[in-house]
Amino acid sequence: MGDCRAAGIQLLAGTNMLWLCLYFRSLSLDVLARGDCSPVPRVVVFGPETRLQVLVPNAAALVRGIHAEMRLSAAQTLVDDLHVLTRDAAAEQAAVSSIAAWCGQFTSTVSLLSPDAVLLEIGASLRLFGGLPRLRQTIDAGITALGYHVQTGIAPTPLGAWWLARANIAEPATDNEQLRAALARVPLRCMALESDVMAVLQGVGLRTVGDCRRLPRDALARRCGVTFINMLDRALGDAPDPRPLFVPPPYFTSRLPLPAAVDDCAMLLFAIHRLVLELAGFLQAREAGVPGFVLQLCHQGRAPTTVAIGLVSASRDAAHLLRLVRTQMERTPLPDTVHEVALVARDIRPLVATATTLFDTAETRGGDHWTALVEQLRARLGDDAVTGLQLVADHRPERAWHYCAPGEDRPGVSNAARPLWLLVEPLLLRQRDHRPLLPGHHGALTLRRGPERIESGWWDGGDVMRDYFAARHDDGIRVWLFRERCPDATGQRRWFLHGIFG
Amino acid sequence: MSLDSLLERADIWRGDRFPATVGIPTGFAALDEKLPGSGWPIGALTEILLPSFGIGELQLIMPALARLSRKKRWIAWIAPPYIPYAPALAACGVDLSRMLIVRPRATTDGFWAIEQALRSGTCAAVLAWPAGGDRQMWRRLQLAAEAGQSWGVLFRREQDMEPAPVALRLQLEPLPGGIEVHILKRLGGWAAGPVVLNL
Repeated sequence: MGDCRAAGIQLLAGTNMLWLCLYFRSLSLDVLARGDCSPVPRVVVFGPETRLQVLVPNAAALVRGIHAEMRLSAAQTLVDDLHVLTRDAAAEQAAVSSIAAWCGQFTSTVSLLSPDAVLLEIGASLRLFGGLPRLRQTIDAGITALGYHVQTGIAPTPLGAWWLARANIAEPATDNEQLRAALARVPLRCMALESDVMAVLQGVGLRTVGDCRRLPRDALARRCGVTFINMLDRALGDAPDPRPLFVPPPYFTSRLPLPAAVDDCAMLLFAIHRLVLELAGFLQAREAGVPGFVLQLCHQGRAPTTVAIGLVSASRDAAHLLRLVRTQMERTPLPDTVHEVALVARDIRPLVATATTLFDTAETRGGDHWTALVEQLRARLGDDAVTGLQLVADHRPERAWHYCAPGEDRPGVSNAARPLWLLVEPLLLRQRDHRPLLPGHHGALTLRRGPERIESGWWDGGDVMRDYFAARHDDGIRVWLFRERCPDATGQRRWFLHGIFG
Repeated sequence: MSLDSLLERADIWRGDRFPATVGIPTGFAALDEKLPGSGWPIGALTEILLPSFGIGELQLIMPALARLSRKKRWIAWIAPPYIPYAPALAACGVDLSRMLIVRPRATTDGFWAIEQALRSGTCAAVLAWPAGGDRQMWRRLQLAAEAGQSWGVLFRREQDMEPAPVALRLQLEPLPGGIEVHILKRLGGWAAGPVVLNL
């Protein structure tokens, strides 16, 4: 046992283990078509160019009479406008790995079992996720939202769960007795046997796992080999079955090919939604968040369009991330149709699990998601258009404050004698008899307070020498003015409007 | 939806009754007295009409802003006509770290931003200086304020006036040493006589 641990393999033959196997029967199709929800008849083909065979038909192709292993030429005579996709084994492998990383949110024990199946040990997670039926439903619904068709099997052994999943026996087997009864019904083709073993078993008229178990062990070992007997023992829980633990990649990257080139934003968002859900699960699994990510919209024969999504603070809230994507996408012109979308998030940061407050009031909601609004506004209006306010220790009024990142806190000097509104630039005022006039207002200004002399900034070239006054105009508006201390070229001391008391 | 829950909505006006909701104290006792809920309405729009910006409208809302800024929600300023001046705000007791200044370039972006801020549930108050606007837009904003339980304040110059359907409409007139507040519309009460506030 110690050796297994040292080799990085977890020994998984405990008595309380319960395995859930996700089996992706139409993986090669889903990988290529999950970005498109249109019900076009579609098949994935494989084999040499001259003898292409249907590997998986979609539901629309099935009802038109196309089935697996049919020659492509035959299938095309059934359906004229059949959409044909070529199998992409590398993409399938990446997809299974990415699903396994997503599954990490439900259990720490995830294992890749075959090119089209993922194993989860869920015995320890049942209570946390509200019992077996609910956990299973959550996982199934999540996988469906990612765009994959899945069959699940639940059993105390990894192989048992796999075979039940392949046989599409949904009834969970939670103990050894149920497992034996359930496996007895599993057809031989669901055991994924070597073809020679399969031929031997079929030759003696066996059809199910149950049939095999009724034969004498010695005879079976002689005909089919010890490997086969050992496999049966592991499936039934009579022998330990250690499984290598899946280690998720350090950062997130996922691609989603679009079966038909897309130029429509809604359809793109449908595909991106799947990627964002995948990212959210990946982050949930490691209790992490992202401060931003990059979407790549790939075009045929030109550089991809890159959409960078930035957040104020790291998050893994799929709905929020998707809102940001939507706002950003509305502003992003597409130079061409898109045939693949990729999502890359390299900066993964630990995030404290979302605390659920007892009282979900508007106030606590404000506390939890207070940055979400900022991100959403920035996504559409740009970073510069959404800011906070900050005090700066400077005597010059125009430099005594600054726009800053929203929420940033810095102590500074407040001043009750200042107006609530400041003009972006001081406004030069016309004068009559050395008295300033307010543009657009008839009547006179009456100086009420002042002068307050401000002389500062000679050291940095932005020097000011001004006398400030608070004044009231006849029609009620109260303003903040200054008069320059040095006369201009015409020998006049100029008046400026700098603020409004508001 | 039951009749009771309908009647509790902030935008349903029931004869001469003030709604049961409690408003945000304005900091001016004479004004609180005349307002339903004894303060600024939460989850609804307040429209403030002015002859020109800068006659005392900010000082009117400053006590409420100072109070709201001490809670963990934003005070959003959307398309303000000038720079909200930090040293003066701080002097009024406003926590600057709660201020969110939004300066959209286009009018449509402005309305979008007001709606997002009102609806988000993370803004205690949304102060907005909208340009134009139609009935349908005001209605959207009213619903957003309700959804986000925010105090939406629309500052409008009298000449832009096409009245917005709001919960509270005030008209300000400058006086020497203060302002005169005319309550043109309030929920649960007829238009009331003017209140003079010294600022």
